[in-house]
Amino acid sequence: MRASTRPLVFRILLIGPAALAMCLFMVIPLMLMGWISIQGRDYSGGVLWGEIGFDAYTRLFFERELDGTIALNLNYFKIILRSIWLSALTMTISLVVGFPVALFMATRSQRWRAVLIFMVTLPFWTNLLVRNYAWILLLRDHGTINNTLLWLGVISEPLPLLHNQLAVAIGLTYSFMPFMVLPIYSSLEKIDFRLVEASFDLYASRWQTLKRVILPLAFPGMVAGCILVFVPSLGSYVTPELLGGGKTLMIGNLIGLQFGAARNWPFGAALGMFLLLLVLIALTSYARNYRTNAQVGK
Amino acid sequence: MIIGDAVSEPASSTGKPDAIAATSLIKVFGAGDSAFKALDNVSINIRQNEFFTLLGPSGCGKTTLLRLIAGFEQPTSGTILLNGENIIDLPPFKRPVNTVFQNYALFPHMTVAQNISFGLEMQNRPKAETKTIVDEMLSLVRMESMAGRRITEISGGQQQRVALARALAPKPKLLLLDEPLSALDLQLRKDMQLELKRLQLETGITFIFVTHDQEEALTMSDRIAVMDKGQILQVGTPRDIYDRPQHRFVAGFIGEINLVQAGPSGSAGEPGEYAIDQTGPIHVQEGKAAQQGQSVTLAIRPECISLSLPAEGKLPGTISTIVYHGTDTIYHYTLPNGTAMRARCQNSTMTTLPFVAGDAIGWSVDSRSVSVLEDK
Repeated sequence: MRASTRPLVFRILLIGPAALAMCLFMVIPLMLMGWISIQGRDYSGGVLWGEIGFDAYTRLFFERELDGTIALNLNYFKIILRSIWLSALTMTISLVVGFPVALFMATRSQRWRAVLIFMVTLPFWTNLLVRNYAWILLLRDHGTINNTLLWLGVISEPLPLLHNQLAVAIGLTYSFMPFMVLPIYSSLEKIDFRLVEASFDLYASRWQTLKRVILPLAFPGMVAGCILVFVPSLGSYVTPELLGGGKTLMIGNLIGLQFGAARNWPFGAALGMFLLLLVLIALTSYARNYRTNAQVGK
Repeated sequence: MIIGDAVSEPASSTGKPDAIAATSLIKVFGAGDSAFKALDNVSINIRQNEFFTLLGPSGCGKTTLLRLIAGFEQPTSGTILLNGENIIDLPPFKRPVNTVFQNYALFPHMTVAQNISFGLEMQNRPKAETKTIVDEMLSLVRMESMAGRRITEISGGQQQRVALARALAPKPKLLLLDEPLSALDLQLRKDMQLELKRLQLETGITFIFVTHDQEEALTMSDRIAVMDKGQILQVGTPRDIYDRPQHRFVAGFIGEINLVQAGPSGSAGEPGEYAIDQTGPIHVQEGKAAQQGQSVTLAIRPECISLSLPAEGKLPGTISTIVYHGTDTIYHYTLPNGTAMRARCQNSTMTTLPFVAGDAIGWSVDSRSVSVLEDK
């Protein structure tokens, strides 16, 4: 008996710290947030505990008119849609730009690869906020890019590069590109290059080889990269705040607003729960994709 | 059993150009101090419908030569003609040549049938034709029941067959095989050797087979080129290579062999007559006349030596060890000058030799079984 209980104690001791941390910093806050989202709103901030209701969730799509009737309100829905659209755009640009980078890295010599991986991860050494400010310097009306183009005579008026969706997409792509490049690189690196030779040998051109051999084998890495870029983009706060201006609010900013200036904690919490739902949907589709892909071949 | 010998040599007088005519191929990898000459002025002609083997130890350049023909590497200099046409400037996907890779390089994300149809699809063959050929190939390599299987779900021997079918499906002018049997266990390898020979005869495609296994080369080939250090040392039928090696390396690489230093016999210098330490004479059928004072190396296969009691006209020796091998017995003996020799005698003959270690013996060898080697 003693012999069998001791490993169990041991196992609990081993898993304990991690489980405790998850519980304290993940499960409890999440439950708290869910709980807040169904409480009453205190107009001076905070919540009225005990006034249970689902007003916060109704607010996502409907608003109560002055006469008490409920009408459809798509303003918040637009912000959610814009978030999804900008995240999808970021994901797509990252994929299109990141794949060739990863392919280039994977086909270098061993020594070069280490250098290139280091270079890809280099931006992480600087704070995200600082990097976004750097983009402001580049993109603003008299920033580096506009000034250079003006000086070259390509344009006569500064291009509106900052405070729009394009700026947000550029900033997000820049921030999350490594999350796309690294998983794709790791799946490309595992490909036996002799398969590429076999493909050439069997009359496949470079393009056909890419399409029929390399892309299918790199697919798991591409899906992983897409998830890793899409999910943090969806919840991003700093980049749309700094580069997007007031007109390109994303869910993250909306949530921030509810807990700050708008003083609507239950609605902020409800938005948080909704964002979580979106991420769960994305991850589930990834898991399903991955399973079908695993059946297609490793 | 030498299957290769049973097949008559392909005639070169059909008027057709050689399947491969390579001239003065040089391939240098790297540059400067680290430069490595993988192929050193190699010229070779491979005939139509031939089973041609490139044989040599690892690093001898045989795989490099294959890769040059396939188009995966570009030669530093030299030309390669395929059926009389220069293919040097063609990328691999434009050469009517297919390869069976050493590790098979089958596409892991496709089924057996998809692997086989890949080359046909890339050639834009009609769907119906592709399907017919795939079925034909599946039955050719006896894998009909495995068409829908994944590559990871079949055994090494089956993967080998799929790799063959995939390379044969587009009906290439030339099939290159890069040590395709080296990953298989012995019994499977023996079966596949016969299978390959059968496929080559059935399809009539020229095969270029790369191996370091001399037995494999002797069993399957119409002709063999023995390579070492980036050069082709000797080209010939398996029997040529085995019975009449021209180089010390060729003699030593293929089968067991005794190498003996010999000089001209007496002062006569009669053509084809040599002496070992003044004992002899030992006759060589196709030897050149040994010049006075010149010493040569004679190569003698252990199975060509006959042992007897010491007698007039026999060369002297002393038995050192006798090793029984079932089908035959190896007699290790030494010559008066200390050279160690081996004689292999079949046990099936009635005449069991009554020797024990330490006995003085006499030995002789048929003049047709002695080769005079060029020292390289």
